Amino acid sequence: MPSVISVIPKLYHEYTTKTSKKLKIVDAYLLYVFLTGVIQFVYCCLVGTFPFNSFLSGFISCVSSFVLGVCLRLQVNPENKNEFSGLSAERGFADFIFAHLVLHIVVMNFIG
Amino acid sequence: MFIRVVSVFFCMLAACSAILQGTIDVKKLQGILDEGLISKDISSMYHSLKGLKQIGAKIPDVCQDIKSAKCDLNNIEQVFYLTNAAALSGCQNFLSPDVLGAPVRVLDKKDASISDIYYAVYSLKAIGKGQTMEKEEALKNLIQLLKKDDSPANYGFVFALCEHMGCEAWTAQHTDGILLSADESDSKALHFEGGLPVTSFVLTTILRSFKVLKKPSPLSPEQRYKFATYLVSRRSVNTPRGASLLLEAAYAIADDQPTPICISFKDRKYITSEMDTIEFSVTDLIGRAIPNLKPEEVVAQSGTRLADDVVVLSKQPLVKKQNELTTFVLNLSKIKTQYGMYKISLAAGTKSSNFNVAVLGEIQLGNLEVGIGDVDGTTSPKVTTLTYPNKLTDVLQADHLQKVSLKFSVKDKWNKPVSVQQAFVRVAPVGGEDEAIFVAEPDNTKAYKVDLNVGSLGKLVQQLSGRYTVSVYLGDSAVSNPLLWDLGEISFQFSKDLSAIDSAGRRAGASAVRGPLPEIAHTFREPDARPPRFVSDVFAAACAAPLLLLLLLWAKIGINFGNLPLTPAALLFHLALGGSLALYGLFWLQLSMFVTLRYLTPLAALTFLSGHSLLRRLAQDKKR
Repeated sequence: MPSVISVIPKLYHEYTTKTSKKLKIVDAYLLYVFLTGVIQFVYCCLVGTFPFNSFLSGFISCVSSFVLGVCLRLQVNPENKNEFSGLSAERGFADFIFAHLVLHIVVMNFIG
Repeated sequence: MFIRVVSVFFCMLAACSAILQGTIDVKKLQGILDEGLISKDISSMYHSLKGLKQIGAKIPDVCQDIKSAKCDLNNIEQVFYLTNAAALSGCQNFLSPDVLGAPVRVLDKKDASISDIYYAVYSLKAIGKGQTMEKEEALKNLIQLLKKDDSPANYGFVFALCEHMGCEAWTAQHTDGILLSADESDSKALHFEGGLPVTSFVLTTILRSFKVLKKPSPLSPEQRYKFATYLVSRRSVNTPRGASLLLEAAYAIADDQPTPICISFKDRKYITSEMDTIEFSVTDLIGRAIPNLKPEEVVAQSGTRLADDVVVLSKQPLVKKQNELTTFVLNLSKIKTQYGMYKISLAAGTKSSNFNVAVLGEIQLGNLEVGIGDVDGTTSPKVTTLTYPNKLTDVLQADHLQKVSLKFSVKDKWNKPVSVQQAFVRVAPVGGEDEAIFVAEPDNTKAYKVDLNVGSLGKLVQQLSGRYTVSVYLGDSAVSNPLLWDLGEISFQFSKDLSAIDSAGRRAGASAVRGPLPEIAHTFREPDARPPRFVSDVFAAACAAPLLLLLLLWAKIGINFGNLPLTPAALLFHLALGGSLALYGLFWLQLSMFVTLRYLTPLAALTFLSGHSLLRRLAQDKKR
């Protein structure tokens, strides 16, 4: 157990020093999206799902944004270069923007 | 083989000991034949003449009719009808010599069918030009033709031709095979493929041939009975052809000894206490007395009541009626006291059959009690007693907290309580159309009782308070005097429950007005209760809070816009992207999907082009 606790500061240190700034920005975005989804879920548990379509669209928007963000992070990460050879970080970002535009027109249609 | 033996055994048990329950009505068929005579159709005339000759009726002079009848002289069948009708009525002299043409042509032909040969030979025979055929040779040819098509009808034609040629022995040889090929329906009736015409033709030809040969009949009693059953089942024929064929076959079967016995009700199928005898007619197939049947051989073997299978009579002989050969009388005075349906098994000689007989009785009603009391039975009911057929002298009153009970007992003529099949009580408003009918059920002592709960009665008559007539209906299939007793009037006071009146009114309205139903409008789900404003606001803020966190984190990480190239493409891209998101906001708030898409298309194109150029530039910068 102490070893686990001692690992955490080390992990944090590694993260702050070795992760590039771009990835940190994406991580912050992911945290934001994740927290928003959690708060919506808590609201739904405490108060109720009515109106259900609004809850669904908000929650699904969060989940999908999170998934898209993770995809972007995977593509942008220099360590994954071998897997995405031929796909530049800019191409990844363009896909991210495009997917978001499509996702949110659906979300807006559904939100009611 | 075994199956055959078993089936014969069963036949001895069941079918062979049976009696036909119907006869062929010669009088009725004669009427059909008389009508056929005056028709201008040569086929009907021929069959009418043949049938009338069969029953020995007087044949009027029809020579002019035959002469003027329409007939196609090239059609061998029509020529056959024409010549034979002339022969039957003795009018050969009225025929023109042209009728000879068709038969001669048929006989000269190589490939004539058996039926055509039969028609041709008998046409010529009818006008006295019967040919002497080379018997052996002709029979050989016919057998060749039979090999092509060996239907019972063709066999019948060959048998008939054999009668002409004198080869009845060949007929006798093949009779058994043909009789075995008859179709059996429902294991009760026998007939040949082709129905009544073929059955009648083949049977009569065979029986005639056997008579000529002076041989005993080839039919077994069972076969005779089954053919007779078939003929009885076809007794509703209504054409001269059918009538003539039916009569011919019926006479042939009836003359074939031992003839099948028919027993039928003479007129009525029931007895009453006044008329306690039933007359049966015991005849052969065509309504003649049966030879060699001793009167004492007609016996009612047994009689049972259908309701409870109690045996009420056994071995009671029937009495032959004076001066009537075929009428036998069964005296049922023993069972007339208890009405109901009875099954009588009648035997004539060794054969027997079951008949259902109704014993009609009279019923009478004893006293009837009308009691009006509380539903919960707290007070003893007020009882009014009535005797049939009196009416209530004054109008009784009952309200929705009370019940009306009717008690009565049904008795037969000898004052014994009985139960009837139908016992109803009807309640109907005076002058109104509604009615409510209740079934009266007997208890163990056969006393009938009906409880009318006024509260529930109201629902059946739409809660309309007022005066109602109450009547009792009694009936039974074995009762000769069904009863309807109008008891008089009772004034019902139903509850004034608003919902009940409303529903009754609506029901009345719905039934009175016919037309389209009201349009069905979609109703949305009622919104659930929303949380208080405060809760909503807190969570709205909570949802927005991570955005602040995001900005803080980004600031901490050290976000900057240093990489942003100052080109029109970059500016355009950000503007267009922001514009798209703003459009989504508008879409949420007020726009429709189509309008949104119309605006979005140019915006998306702009975003794509500018974004493409911006990102390509960034990528190129990085490479350098």
